[in-house]
Amino acid sequence: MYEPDELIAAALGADPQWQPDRLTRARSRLAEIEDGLGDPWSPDNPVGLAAVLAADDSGDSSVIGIRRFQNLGMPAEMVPAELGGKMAGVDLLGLVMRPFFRRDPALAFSHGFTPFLGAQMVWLNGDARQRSRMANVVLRGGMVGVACQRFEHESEFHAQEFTAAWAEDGMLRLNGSKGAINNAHTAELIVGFVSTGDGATDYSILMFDPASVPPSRVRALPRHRTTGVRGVQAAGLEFLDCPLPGESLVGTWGDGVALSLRAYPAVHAAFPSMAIGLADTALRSAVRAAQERDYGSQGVVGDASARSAIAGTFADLLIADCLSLTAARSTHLLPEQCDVLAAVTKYIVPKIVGEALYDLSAVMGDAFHAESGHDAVFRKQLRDLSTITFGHVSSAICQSVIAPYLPALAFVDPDAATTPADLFRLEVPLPPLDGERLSGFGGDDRLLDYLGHAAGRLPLALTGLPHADLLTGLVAGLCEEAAEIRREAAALTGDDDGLLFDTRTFPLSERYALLLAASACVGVWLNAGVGPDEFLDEPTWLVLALHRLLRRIGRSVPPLPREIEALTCEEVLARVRVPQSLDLLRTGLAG
Amino acid sequence: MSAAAPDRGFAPAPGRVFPPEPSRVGGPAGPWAHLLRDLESSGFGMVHASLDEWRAQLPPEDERKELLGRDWERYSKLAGVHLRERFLATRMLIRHTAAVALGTEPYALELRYGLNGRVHLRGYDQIDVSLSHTADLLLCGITSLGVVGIDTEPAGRRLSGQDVERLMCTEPERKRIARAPEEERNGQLLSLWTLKEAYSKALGQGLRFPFAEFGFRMEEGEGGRTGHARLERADGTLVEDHTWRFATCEVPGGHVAAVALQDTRRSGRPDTRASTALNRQILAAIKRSRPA
Repeated sequence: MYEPDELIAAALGADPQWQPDRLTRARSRLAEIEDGLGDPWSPDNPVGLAAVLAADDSGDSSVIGIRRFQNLGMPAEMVPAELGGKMAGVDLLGLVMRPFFRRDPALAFSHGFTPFLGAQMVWLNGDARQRSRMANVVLRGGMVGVACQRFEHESEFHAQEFTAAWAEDGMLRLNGSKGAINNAHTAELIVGFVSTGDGATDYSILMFDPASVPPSRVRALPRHRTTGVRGVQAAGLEFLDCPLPGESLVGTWGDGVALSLRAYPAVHAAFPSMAIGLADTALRSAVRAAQERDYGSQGVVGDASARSAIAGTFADLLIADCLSLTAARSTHLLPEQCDVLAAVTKYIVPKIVGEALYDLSAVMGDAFHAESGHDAVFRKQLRDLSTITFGHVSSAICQSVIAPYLPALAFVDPDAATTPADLFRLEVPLPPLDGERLSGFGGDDRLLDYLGHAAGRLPLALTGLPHADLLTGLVAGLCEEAAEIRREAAALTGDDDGLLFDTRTFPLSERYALLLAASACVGVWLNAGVGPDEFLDEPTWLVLALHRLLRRIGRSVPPLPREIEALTCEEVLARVRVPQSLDLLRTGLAG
Repeated sequence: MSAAAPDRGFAPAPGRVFPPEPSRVGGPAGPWAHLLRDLESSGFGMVHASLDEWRAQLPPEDERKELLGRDWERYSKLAGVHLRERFLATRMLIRHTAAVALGTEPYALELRYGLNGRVHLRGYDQIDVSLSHTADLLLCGITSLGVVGIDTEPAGRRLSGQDVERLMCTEPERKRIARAPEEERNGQLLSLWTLKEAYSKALGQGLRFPFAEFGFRMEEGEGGRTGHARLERADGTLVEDHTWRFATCEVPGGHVAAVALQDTRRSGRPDTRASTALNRQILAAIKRSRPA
């Protein structure tokens, strides 16, 4: 990181070695993508919201949008540098996907998120040949399909599963049918979780080209229509004693679940970050609808209900951004410990953002039910969010990762490692993801203890700033909650196997997640996580964010001064007008 | 090999009545079998209870703080025994209803409140509950499909001829009511009111959503007070969102109720039990990775 005077020297041409820093590069890349996609609100834009709504209505994917995705170099953003791509961190991947999630969540889900999910399984667990094969497919914009395993608490994508077994000829045999696999009929590579069914092991991960199997052994099943992201091309596949070469196996036979757990942190951290783009458009569209209503001379900010919903949603998007930034950076900086923090992020962000968007429905009023025109964008984003977050089954997976660590919260380690400030700072470059280190599953979140440390730093940090007492009080409330969570964790009971859990685990996991979200916000604020920013440097947004989190936790909070929501609401209106993104980075938008 | 389910629609399965008739629960001991059967067969069920009956079975005062958990603060701020006991009885009903679906102890659960006051079961998003109470009636709905809102009112409540009609109805609704015979108008208004409350509660908005900006139209042939309804915009345009179902029904004791139910889970057989929510393979893999 350069000091300001070095920056000035560089700008004057005095330093030939000068390179733009990570923040500058991220902003410039986002501007390039925004520019390449154009104003989403323009009715003539072929990749704008009107075109996306029309494609959604007819259940199609946008051909021009897909071409634009490739021409703008998005596939390379997902591929690690050592495999020929440009991925410089999970935190940046979340950011650069936002312009697409802002406009076309179906496209971004199918061409961005799904290949990333499948590819992570291979890049972190496969051999050199498999890693390179997957990278080549992703880099040239080829499709990747993911066939998920079945969970007892199933959803449409997690019902049914394939089975596989070794045959005497040394090849694998794949069997079973599955009705909903994203990109099933267009995928060049399918990453499948297959039940091994051999009694000793549970799952394995396979990677194969569905076009290379004997046609008589595979049957394409009909398209599966999703409720949201209607352009998604999900469909079914059926395999009948289908031979697959042994090298289709990714990692060790029977180790599928442990291998997938190595890939989950990056996926769990990146997805909520990407989805902030989707919610940005929803909030922007609610503001546009609100501005078309007659709120009298004081406008939108003068209406308590509209002001609160708009300001609150923005605060919630900043919470989501702080937590996903921290979790994403932890996958690189603390790979042995990041699993729980990432699971917490995927667990709680859809809940926080979903609740905020529903609150905007009251601001939308009649426009909430619009089925055409720009107002219809709002409910489409809400519908899309519900489908692509996978709902309850995703919560169950995340809770399965979080639950085993909750009892350990009861023990405070006096020698615990401190929380690195780089966890909160986007500007600091990251080392590549390391599959071996990601298999540590250490689960030390590094954020629960951080609250106490942060409380100690606050008095100095708040010198001369408004709302210091209020903020200090809110952080004290969070520290009390952390102590309460530790007490409750000490009372949890389980069996010796570690497989049966006290049912108090479930509510505790949610409060714990909310608390880590609050801690991430404090960390980003104290460390100026995205560099200097006149709005973020003030504590206003942080007060609102922590206030909402404490209310969600169920603790009593003092009343908020009116100006907290008023200033935050005004900031949203200004960012809609300019326009700038409704997230931490405040990037300029094309519309 | 099982056949794949290619494209599940949202129409209620044939033979399933929506909404199922609410079953009566006399106290914490139930009976709960009817609710469990409805939940398992259709993903939605309702119970009704008498406040007086449940009040007679409330836990003693010295146990309430522990049982109520984070609700204790709210409870202790309520003025008067009557309000407190109503609060406690409704929280008990929600806990017991949810415990049936989750297979847990009612008091191992924790209620949480959305920022607009909507009640949820903390940490369990496989179910959604909604509560409505008026006079002696407590009504609780629960679903494993998505979100639910319910509302109930005494059938004799007078709305017609009041200002409420202007405040809560869309223009098309007002015209339809004006065309109805005088003796049916109050019943129709009551249906609309409960439907609007139920939908707004399902969205987590309570009375925040402006009631004159969305409307309901009873299905053809169900022009009376109870039956299925369709959501419409302020100008009367139907909202084509097939994830939602709306209906009104009668509840014993002279009440009408409305249900708004959204199916977003899209699972043929939703499992809601807490004991199966955590994935055993994930738990085992994490356990194996830990140093002995």
